[in-house]
Amino acid sequence: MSDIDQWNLNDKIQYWKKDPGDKDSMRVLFSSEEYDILDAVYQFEIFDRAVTERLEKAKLTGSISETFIRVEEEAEISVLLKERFMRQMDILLEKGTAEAWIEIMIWYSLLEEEKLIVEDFWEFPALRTMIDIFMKELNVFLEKGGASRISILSLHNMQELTDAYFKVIFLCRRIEYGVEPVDEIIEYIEKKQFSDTFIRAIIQTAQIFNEEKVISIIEEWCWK
Amino acid sequence: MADGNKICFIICANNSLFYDECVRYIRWLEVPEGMEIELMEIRGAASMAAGYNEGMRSSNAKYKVYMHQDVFIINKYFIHDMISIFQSSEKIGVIGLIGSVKVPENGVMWSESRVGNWSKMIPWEGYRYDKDEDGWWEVEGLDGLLLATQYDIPWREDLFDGWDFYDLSCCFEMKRRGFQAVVPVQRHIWFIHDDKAAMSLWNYNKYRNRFISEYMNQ
Repeated sequence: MSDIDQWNLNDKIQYWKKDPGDKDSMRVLFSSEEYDILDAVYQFEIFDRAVTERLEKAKLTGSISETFIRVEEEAEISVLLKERFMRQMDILLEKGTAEAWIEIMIWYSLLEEEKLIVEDFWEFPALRTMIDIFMKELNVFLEKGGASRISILSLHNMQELTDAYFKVIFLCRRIEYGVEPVDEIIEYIEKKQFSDTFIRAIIQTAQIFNEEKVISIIEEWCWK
Repeated sequence: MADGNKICFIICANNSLFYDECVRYIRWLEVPEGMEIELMEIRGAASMAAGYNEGMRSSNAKYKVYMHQDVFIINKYFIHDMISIFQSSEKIGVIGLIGSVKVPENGVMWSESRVGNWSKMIPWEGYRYDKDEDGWWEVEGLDGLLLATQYDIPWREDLFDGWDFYDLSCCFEMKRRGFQAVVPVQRHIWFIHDDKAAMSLWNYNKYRNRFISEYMNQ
């Protein structure tokens, strides 16, 4: 084993993958919150194998019932995984740094890879969108030699993140359909100082019919 | 006595951000002259059917719209259009925005092709639904995202004490009483629904079996 102290999160997770059941090593390598996520992932895998065996014995694999039985049986562990994951996201978001967001991306990628994104919870698609925004804002920041702001760093926990996600979606739709009040739009975006990149990325997920109309109105109000 | 000049929107809510936004769109709707709008927020319902029964019993509105908090009505003339459909036929008991012409024996509504419109086909500006030109589909099952009724038929909270199959049950209860379920032909989508990427199916199978037992094994 090389110098563990130099290992970054990615290195540690690759090590974990070699033997996910090695709890003693994992407790040394990871914080308690990080360990909890990996433990939930491991439990999920064991549970999923057991459900598959039961379904095979009952000759239900490939049937219409299979999907529903799986989802029903995995409900409790889905909630556990989500709670543990979001706890760690709160810890990382509180730091307000680009490095923390890199770790957020690594954790999210792990769940994607293991096919454990629990889409029943809105936090996951909201976080997915914000990860995309982070990457775009980071690229702009680097292209401009640090002369732009990574506005997403101002979101310090998952509640703020999902609130921002939905508030911007809702406000953009109000522009599209002419639903008042519209002053709230200007106030909210100005207060949060969300970037042009941020707003454009949210609009793409907002089921907006005329994106350019909404963007041009926001540009005129907020970024003139 | 049901008040034919009143429409009540009944919403089981557990999220103020969504509920407030949903209501914002309701208040934005064009209201036919002489029509009164009532809003009923149901909090802490034991089930969707129980919540809807509570709302139904609490209002004397003839027209009731049962909807999810994450549905936003973007057809400004929704109330006009809904009433025009109901008034064109006493046989129409419930209107929805997405439905299945035939509910299969396994009770899984979306395994058959669905009707309604959840994409945008024509520019929104200048779109008006016309019940004579556009019409509607008669369906067996409706998606519970929005269900508008002109008759008060009790929701089967005795059977569906969760968050699934209350909608199909409503359609089949209407059918038992001789009423139809319909979906208007929407050349432009009438609603936005912030449903999650995958619906919560945690108890779906349990209620699916109850639905089959009650309505399909007849």
